[in-house]
Amino acid sequence: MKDRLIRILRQLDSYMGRYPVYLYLIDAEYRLLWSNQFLEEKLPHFDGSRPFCYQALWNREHPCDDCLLVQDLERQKVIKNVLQRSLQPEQDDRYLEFLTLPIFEGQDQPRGYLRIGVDITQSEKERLALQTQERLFASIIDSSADAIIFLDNNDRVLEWNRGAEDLFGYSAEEMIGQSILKIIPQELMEIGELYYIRKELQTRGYLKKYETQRLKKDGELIYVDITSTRILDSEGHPIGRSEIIKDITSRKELEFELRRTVLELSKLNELNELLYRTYEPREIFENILIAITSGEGLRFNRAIILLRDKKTNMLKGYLGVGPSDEEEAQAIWAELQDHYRSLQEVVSIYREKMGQREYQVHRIVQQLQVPIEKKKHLLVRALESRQVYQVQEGEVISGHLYDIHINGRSLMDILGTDSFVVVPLFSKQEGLGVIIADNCITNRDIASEDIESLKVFAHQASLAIENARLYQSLQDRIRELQDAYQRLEENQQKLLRAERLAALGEMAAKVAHEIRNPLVSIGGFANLITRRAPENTDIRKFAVIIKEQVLNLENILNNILNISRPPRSDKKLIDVNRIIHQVASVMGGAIEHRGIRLALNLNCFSGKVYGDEKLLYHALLNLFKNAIEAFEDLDRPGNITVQTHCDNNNVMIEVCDNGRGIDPAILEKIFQPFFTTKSSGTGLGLSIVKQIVESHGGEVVVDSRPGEGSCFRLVFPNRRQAPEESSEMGN
Amino acid sequence: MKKILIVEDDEPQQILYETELTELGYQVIIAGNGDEAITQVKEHQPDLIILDLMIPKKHGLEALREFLTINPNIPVIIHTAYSHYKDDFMSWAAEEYVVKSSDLTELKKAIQRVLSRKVREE
Repeated sequence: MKDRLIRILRQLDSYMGRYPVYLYLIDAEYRLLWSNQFLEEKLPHFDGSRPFCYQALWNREHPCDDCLLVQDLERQKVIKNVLQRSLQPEQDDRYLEFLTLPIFEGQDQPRGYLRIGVDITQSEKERLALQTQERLFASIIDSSADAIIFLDNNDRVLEWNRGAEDLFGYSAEEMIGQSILKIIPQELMEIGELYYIRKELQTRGYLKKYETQRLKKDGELIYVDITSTRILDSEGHPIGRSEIIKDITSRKELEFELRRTVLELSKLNELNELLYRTYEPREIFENILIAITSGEGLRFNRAIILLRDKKTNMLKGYLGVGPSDEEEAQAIWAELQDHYRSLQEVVSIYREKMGQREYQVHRIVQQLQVPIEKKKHLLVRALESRQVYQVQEGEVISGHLYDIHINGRSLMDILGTDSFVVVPLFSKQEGLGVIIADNCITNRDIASEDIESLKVFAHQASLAIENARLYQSLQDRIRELQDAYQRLEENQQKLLRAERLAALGEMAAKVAHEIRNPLVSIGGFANLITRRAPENTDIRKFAVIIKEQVLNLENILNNILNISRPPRSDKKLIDVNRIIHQVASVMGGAIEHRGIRLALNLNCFSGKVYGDEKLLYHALLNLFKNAIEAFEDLDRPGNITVQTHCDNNNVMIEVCDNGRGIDPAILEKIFQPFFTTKSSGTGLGLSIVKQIVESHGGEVVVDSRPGEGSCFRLVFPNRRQAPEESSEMGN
Repeated sequence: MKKILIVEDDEPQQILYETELTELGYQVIIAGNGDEAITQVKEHQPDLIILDLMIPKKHGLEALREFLTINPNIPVIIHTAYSHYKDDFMSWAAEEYVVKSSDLTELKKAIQRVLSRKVREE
């Protein structure tokens, strides 16, 4: 039988030609009985002389590990065996799949095996790669932090990875086979979210980063994004879908925070614009308060501004905005709630309302007055420390030591609420005031964000106030400048007018003087005619008329030139040295002309004589004349020495000459009027000197020796207002 | 007879004063300008000088300074149409200051005041 089978096989092989099939026949003990030609050519180690198949085919000394024959020889079934072999040294491993046909030969046990093999390297490699990939995917899916789940067409869970377990708190055992509805919030079900997801998948095949909410096992609601893909079978029918679910709760929260901050900022921005809309301080304060209290602003129920009053050194309530009870609140808020309004609109509505009726808040504002010296008072403290203080349920947070009473009543009592915030307003240099804000109507808690916003806003408000003040002072300066400029212009006009008048006056004076001279002649001659013409003649009458008319004209001229003004009293404090210099300059020519030397020793620097300068001048002039006369008819050169001295009591002037001196016999008489020894002169000189000196409270003493000279000493009381003088007077 | 020097450049006034003062019994000498006046003072040694300030050649006050040099004891009456020279200290050296008028009463009184002492003396 064996040989017959081999014969048939040989014949079959010859019919198959080069068909790539490996064929060999072995007996139950693995002895190689026959192999086809293709095999013998293709297997590089084939050696037909060796008995066992593992020796002949594979060049091994023991049966192959991967050969199933050993284990499955007994079993009555088809053995499909894949062998991995290297066929050529330089080639990759090949996979050969062998089908083993048992040869029974009429016995129970097979007597041999026919093995038919084909090269399945290509498909086997693909299968192995796929297997690796599958393992990789499984591990990726399993180890992913994101939840990855697979659902069937009825939304039942097929796969539930570890990420899903971690995210939702449900284990895979709990979820597989369960409906996905378990993790979808009720309200999302109600609005048909699942329907939406299915429809998207159906039309587009996938759903990318769809943001929604899901429920955790413990009931917590989380924000997620879902990327879902439809899964199709080989024929293109949908068999379910995958879902990758990401937890985006923290990102979402940040996003909300950001959005809130942006809103807050744009709100503050709008508030700022409102602040800088005007430079009128009262309007700015109104806007500040409205901004703090309006729903579009900082949403406090009520706000009050207190300002520092520098005159009284008080922190005083200035302005308040806010309803005093629910009724008032409804009245205002109802009006504002209709639709969205810009802050500017809100401001105008508020302003209208504020003017309409007397609000409780105005009475409160009037009661808020604290002296700034009260350093321990909460409001003063906020002003000076530039810090925000919060009072919550009657307790000052982080400042319970501070006084919160005004005239014996607590601030809570006055405000009618036990929770409020005090925020300072301050410029670079000083505290301007404080803002008190509260939620007296709604009793809403004052959140730290509210305080933060209020703080930022108060800072902006302070800047706005400062700005307005600067603007105001700038305006004042401009006004002052304008006034000054106007005055300057007026003065310039006046000056021009005055100059014109002065020029006109000068000309008038010149003309008037020119006219005066001929008038003197006309009038003078008319006067002569009146005296010389016979009485009762026409000539005389006419001359009288001329005379009178000329006098008339002269009076007019006098008025114009102001000649006839009464002499003013010329009494004043006189510096005697100055008068002596003037006399010396007038008499200098006369003295020099006579070869006389004049020496001035003027040592009185602080003394003053009170009197008429011209009279004193005359007295000194006469003394000088007298001294010059002392050298008349003398051939020798002479000296005149003038000295001044003064002490606290007296001013002394001495005029000395070394002329001929005075005869002692006449020394007594020289001050008598009309006494003279000279050929010319009036003889009045020395008597005038005596008169003038005595009228000034002084005295004249003369000291003279014939042939040696004379000294005239004038002594006046010193009228200098010296401190020593007054103390002496006190003695 | 007292000699009076009249320093005056206006001819009608020269005639007027000469006529009036001669009538009162004074000997009148006339000088028409400053230089002439100085020459006359030196030559005639008058008892009194009546001095107009606005005169040719030399200002009256300048002439006054020279009179004082020649003889400080000759009294001078300033006789002028201007009043403001009263403020110039140089004018203080004159005995009297009379503002011109067609009515010569003031001038005559001043002449008498100044000369009456000499008249009495003589």
